[in-house]
Amino acid sequence: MRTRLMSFVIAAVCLSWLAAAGAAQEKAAEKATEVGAAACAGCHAEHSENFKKSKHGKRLPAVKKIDFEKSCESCHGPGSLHAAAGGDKSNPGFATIKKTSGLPAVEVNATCLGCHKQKGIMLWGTSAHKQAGLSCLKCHSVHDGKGKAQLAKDATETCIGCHKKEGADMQLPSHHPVREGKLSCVGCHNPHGGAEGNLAKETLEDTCFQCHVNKAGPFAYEHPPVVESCATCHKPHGSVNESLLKQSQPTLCMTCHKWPHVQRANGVGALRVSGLQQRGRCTDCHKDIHGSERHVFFKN
Amino acid sequence: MKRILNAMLAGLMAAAPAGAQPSLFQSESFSVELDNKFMVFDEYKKPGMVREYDGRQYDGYDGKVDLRAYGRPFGDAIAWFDFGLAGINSHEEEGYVDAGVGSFVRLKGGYNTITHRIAFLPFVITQDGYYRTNQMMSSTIGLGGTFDEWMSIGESFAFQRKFLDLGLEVRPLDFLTLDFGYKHDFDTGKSFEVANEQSGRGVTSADYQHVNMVRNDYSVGAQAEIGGVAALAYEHVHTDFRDNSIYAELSHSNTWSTSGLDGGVYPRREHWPMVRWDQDDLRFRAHPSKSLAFTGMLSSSRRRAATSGFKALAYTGMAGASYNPSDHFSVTSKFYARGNVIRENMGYLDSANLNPGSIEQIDKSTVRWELSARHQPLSFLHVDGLYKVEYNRRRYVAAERFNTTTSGLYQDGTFITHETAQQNGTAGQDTKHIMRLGAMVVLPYDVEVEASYKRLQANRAVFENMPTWENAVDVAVNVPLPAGFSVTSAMSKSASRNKFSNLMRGHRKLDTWSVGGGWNGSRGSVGMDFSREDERYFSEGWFGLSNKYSDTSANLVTDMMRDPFMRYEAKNDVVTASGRVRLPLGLAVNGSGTYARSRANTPTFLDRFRAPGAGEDAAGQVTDLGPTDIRVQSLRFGMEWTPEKAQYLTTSFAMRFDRYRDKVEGGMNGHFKLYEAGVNAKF
Repeated sequence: MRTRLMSFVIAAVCLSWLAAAGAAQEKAAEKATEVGAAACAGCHAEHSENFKKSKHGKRLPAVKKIDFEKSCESCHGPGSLHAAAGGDKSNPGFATIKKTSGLPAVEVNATCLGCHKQKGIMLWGTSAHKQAGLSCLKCHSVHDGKGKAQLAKDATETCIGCHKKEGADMQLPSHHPVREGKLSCVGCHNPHGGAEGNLAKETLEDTCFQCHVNKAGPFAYEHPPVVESCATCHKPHGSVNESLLKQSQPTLCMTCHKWPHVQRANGVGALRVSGLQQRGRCTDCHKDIHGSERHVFFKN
Repeated sequence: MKRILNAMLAGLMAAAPAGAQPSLFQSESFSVELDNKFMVFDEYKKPGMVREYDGRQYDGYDGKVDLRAYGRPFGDAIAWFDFGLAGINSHEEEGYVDAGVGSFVRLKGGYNTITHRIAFLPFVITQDGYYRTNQMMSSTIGLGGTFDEWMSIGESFAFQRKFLDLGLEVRPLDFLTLDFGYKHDFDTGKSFEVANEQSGRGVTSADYQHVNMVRNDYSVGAQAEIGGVAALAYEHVHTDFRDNSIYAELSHSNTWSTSGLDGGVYPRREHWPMVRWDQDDLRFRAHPSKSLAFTGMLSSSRRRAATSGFKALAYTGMAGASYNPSDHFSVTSKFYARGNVIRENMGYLDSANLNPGSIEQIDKSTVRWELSARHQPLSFLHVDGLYKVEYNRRRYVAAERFNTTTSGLYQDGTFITHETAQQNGTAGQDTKHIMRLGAMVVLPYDVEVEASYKRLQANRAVFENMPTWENAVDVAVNVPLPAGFSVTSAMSKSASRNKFSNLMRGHRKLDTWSVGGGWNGSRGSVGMDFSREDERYFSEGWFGLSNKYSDTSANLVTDMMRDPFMRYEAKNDVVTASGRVRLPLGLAVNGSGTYARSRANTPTFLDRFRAPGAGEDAAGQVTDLGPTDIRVQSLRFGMEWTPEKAQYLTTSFAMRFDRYRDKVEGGMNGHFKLYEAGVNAKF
């Protein structure tokens, strides 16, 4: 009983101290006023210069009407107490600035989303990356980012930094032209969240049809796996087999079509290992395998 | 045009002093970056695979220019004008423009080219201990069909995709933005094709195919902010797609006697795909507080094939909510529903002499709900979990247990012979449950260990080769070391199986392992990764023993040979390394390398096969239905020098070596070397 009481008292004291410290910091932050970017540049010259040249730094005054002079504090909060501390970390005023690297992801993201309301980030709130606790700064560099999206690294490099397996798959013989720089991961994925996972479109099929429209149909004769999911037969990130197939032909086809060409009175007979059918791809004859307007067996 | 641009760039480079601020555009800032590369290129053997997506000609000069202006030419409003061209003189030119005035109007544009070389890819089997290639082709028509001819002709096949993207953004009111877009996609060139020459006899012919496809997208959209806590975006896209390729027609005496459609003429493709597509998309988000978020989406898609008049309609809805009061806790729930309906055009079926009774398109509905949560109960422990349930319902699918010779039961009847005794129907309904549990622990010295377990359980697989059961485990370790070094390693194992299949007894195993390390310091960074993937599929294989085309069905069925362990196995090893280090005197070196080795085999475990039929090659024991052993490597090394007294100027030298080697069939092997000397100037 005594031990419990002691624990309770210690916990209460600790909590009170934490609350008091937090309140003091909040009070200090309340008192802080804006000092302008010139004051920030006194110590953070490199950040300031990079930001000024960046796309972010130029669009802020143009689109949001926030002059460069006010831009630092539009994200980091008023900096008078931080500036007055003169780099002395023991000074309570030093910590009144919003240092993004120390902020929770929720806080960082709320700051960015205050301005960014584009269509592409509409579903961020329930996206997989947000669920994983990522902050915008995991991928984007506010002061000196690269390209249209102010990324810290190139778009593909940013993604494969975490998604290493997909990065390795892109080096395989059959691949989309990502490693050649002709496509990037965001061609198919929306890292800010989609209706289905992080796909750019509503389904995997619609994502593929962005480029492969000639496979979209609807066809008079449809191949059910095409309607169901392109991933039934293909591995979109890379494969050792041609056309990003999961397995080589004919065995890929035989995983569903157990004994094709059986019982055809005028057909080519069963699939024989010694026969011609084993020496070529099924799609050599069933060429319109994604669907046909004319032929029940997808022949040309 | 190229000459004018080159002269303009050369003039600018010669005339502009360092740090110059021209008065153009009444700019507060104006910058030009010019990048000129002079190159020597050596190519050996076939380029088709080593340069699969590389259409640059590397002929002497390759230029790039970026121009940025920023100022107030129209009063108070700030305007910007960014313009760039890359790959000048490369045959793969690219360009972009981004210009705007304040928040009122913005114009964006981009132009890109992708080249895809469609190389002739041989199909290989192992027979009597030797590799044998494409036995399917005859040389009766087309460009001829001998293997060597195709290896020679096929290497030059490529098509280019040219892509133009224009967008206009107007903001008439502070809370409202209107978007107008136009995209144009034009594919042209030649691709390799194998065509069915004589139906019913398994004889094909190689030929080339013209590629000529055009796609136009027109879009209009609006975005609105609602009281600073919510936003709404709507977009309508209309797409026109047309395949204008010229397809050669093959005429033969063979007729397709089952359907009796072709009357002795066998067109390679009679109908050219033409699709009109309309899509509407409405998205919504609300953030009533920092910790609470709601999202939603409604979309519809109407796709019409102009040739057949068939229509594909799809309606999708999604709603989600997330509560995330701090980095220590979050919970998210999402609901998703989609319905697909195909509307057949019976008139087309009648006019094309198809059998309307045999065609029924699959309609599909999907409903999915997921709940995920993340929690950090202790400073060194993170846990997360996910549960997802999905229900699919399909109408007009193939009979689930098809085991008859009556074609009527196999309503969809489209992808296997309708008289088959096969049992591989598409699932009419299925329910999937997916569960994932994960944890991450931070140990002393900031060592991080992450582990997760995923489980899939379904009552029915949509196809025979899809799993109804899957277990997957992932483990990853990240060890930070002193002086900026770190080591990371990850491993995953998964096994899946279709437990409810009567026929397949198939299962799949996938193991991956990776290890990487690197150094990150103030003067640069160096990193290296190795990844291994080991994938195995097991299933049953059934092969016929007949050596005559005209065998009766009864003979074929009773004469089947079963391989209970038909296997496909693939191993992929990938090593990548990259680094960039700044040296004294403004020097910097950079390099990167990739080596990927991919092997795949489909070993067979049957006794010696039967003697060949008339016109077939000599029979022999086939021990592998698809051996592959390909190595792809790419090495780059570069040096840069930026003089301390002329920071606007960088000179560079770079070299690149890429190689593609197929150890089984080396007909498309090749490599190239590239040497570049460059000057980059920023004003």
